[in-house]
Amino acid sequence: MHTEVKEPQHKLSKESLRVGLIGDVIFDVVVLLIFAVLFGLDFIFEWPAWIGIVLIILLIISVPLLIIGYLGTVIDHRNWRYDIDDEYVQLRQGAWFQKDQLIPVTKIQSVETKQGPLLRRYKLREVEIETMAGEYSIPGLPEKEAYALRDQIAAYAKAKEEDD
Amino acid sequence: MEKRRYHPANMLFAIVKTIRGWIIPLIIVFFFNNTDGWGSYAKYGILGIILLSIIGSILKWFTDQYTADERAFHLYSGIFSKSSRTVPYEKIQNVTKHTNILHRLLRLTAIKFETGSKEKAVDFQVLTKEEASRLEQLTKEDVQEQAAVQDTEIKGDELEDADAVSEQTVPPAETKNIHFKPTKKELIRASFTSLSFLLVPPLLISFLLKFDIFFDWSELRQYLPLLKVWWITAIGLIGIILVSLLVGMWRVVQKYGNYELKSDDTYIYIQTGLLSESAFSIRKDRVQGIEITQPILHRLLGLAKVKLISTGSLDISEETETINSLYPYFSLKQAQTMIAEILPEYEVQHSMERLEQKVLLYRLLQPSTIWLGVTITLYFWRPEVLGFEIKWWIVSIVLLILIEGYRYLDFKHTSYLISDKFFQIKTGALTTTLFVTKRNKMIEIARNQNPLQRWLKLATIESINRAKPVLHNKLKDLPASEADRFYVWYRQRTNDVRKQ
Repeated sequence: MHTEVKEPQHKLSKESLRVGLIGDVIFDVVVLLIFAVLFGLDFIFEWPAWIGIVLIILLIISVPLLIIGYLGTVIDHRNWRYDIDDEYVQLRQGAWFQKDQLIPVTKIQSVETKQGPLLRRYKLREVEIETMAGEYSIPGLPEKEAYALRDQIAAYAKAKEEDD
Repeated sequence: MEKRRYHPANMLFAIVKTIRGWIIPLIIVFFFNNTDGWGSYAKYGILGIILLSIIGSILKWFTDQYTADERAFHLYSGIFSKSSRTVPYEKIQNVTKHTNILHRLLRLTAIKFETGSKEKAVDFQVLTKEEASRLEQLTKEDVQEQAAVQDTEIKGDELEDADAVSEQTVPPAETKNIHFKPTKKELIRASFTSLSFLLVPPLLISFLLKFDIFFDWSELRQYLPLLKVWWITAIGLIGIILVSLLVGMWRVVQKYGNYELKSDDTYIYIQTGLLSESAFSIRKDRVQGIEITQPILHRLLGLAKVKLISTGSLDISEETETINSLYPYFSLKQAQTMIAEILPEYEVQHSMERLEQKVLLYRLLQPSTIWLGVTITLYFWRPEVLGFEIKWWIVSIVLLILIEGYRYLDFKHTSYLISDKFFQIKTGALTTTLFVTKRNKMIEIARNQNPLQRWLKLATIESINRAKPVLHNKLKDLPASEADRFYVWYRQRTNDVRKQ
């Protein structure tokens, strides 16, 4: 009974890290823009002094958070693993807070691939698996790989258990 | 197959339901509103809504139809846009019947076939008892035929539910046996342990406080000296106690007076209710798990509540609570023998594994956000209650002791078992919950580890089961090696599931 736990092997592609980082940059730009607008309004309408102070404190707090955000993206990307065989889908996420999920393919109800504008730019696709318990996604796979994975899962998931 | 209309009384029930739903607004606009502008509009508005929904339910009766053949329900509905839905019987998870007082007067009943976590149930709100049992029988026959077919196919197979299947040759109606029917004595004991008689005094007080529009408190004052006569007070007290006991007993008798727990080879049947009856039936292999809960009082009295986890939701109608729980006043031992009787495939083991001692220390040393929040707030805020300033550090210490005590209890109660085919976890500080499921009934698992757990070689595992809503059960801080074993163990579930 005591066989070693097989760890999932497949990693995410390098391009998807780039997409993740670009996403972070866009998010940061939006946050900074909001700050800029608030500071502008503060300046024009001469809001009470404490609002300005609060804004500056928030900005000081958010800058390191934004930098940590990049780090988080890189770490998450590095530690993302998935594996699929004819019986199970296995997912692993996180470095510090690690989460492993083991999903029997028989419990999969649908598979789809998705693509946003950023993913399209880098010819990536996200594979989304829906099960009885919820939805899981494997983000940022190269298009070909994503389609292959989708077809593979769909083929495996044809098997149904008697209970379902 | 001929399409059938639903029972005409459906219209009557829909009308009654509409009127009952709008009765309060109706009373308000008719009796508490004088004819000043808005009131009269509201009156017509509400009457219009009621009229429309009555017309709607009549039209619905004319358009909605159903058939039931050997394999599936076919439901046709829609006044303007027609839709049809086919529900195969094999999708049915459990069946609930409900007969409320109106049903009883008209010798009718309601039946609901639950189909799964996401789909809608097949719901017949009003139909004759004969039709209900015909439909129920249809759905069951289909399953039995299938089982019989499989029986010949899988001979010699060592699957765990093969024995349940192979006994199919005996017609189930003959082998239905009653496992439990409470006697009068047991009902009386239940009404004491349910403690529902304790509800009466507070209800009485709130009743008095609310209905003082009917009398004047100052008029009552002249009767107060009567309380000084000891026998009047005594009679009054005894009267209140008697009423409380009677009410408590009535509540229990109303619910469990007619209680019956039956089973045959394939199904479990539960029946409750005295005035409005409810019945529940589930195929044994559709039971997703068992939950044995013991609130603190139950534990003191050695009682246990047993719940069968099913995929379909279990509320039969708005008026009744779930009846998937077996009789809730079983002693723990009785409950366990009952489980062994009705679900022989399930084994509830007594000896379970405990968490390591270091987990207790790890949990006790974790900072509590509630404690920190309260302490910091009180340190700065220092409120006064009844003129006394509350010493912040006293509250803080008491709270800390309570929290740590709670954690200790939780640790003490937490245990688990990963046996051959079963997964058992027990958790809870005040109310303990023992959850037992089979490996093939778990639809997913997860394992989590945070940095501290990694350092201490611990992990958290989670089992996910079908239910409505999906049931997540977490077991925190078991040894990481055990979590790995759980993972490997779950990977071998393919050994005990049968593929289609």
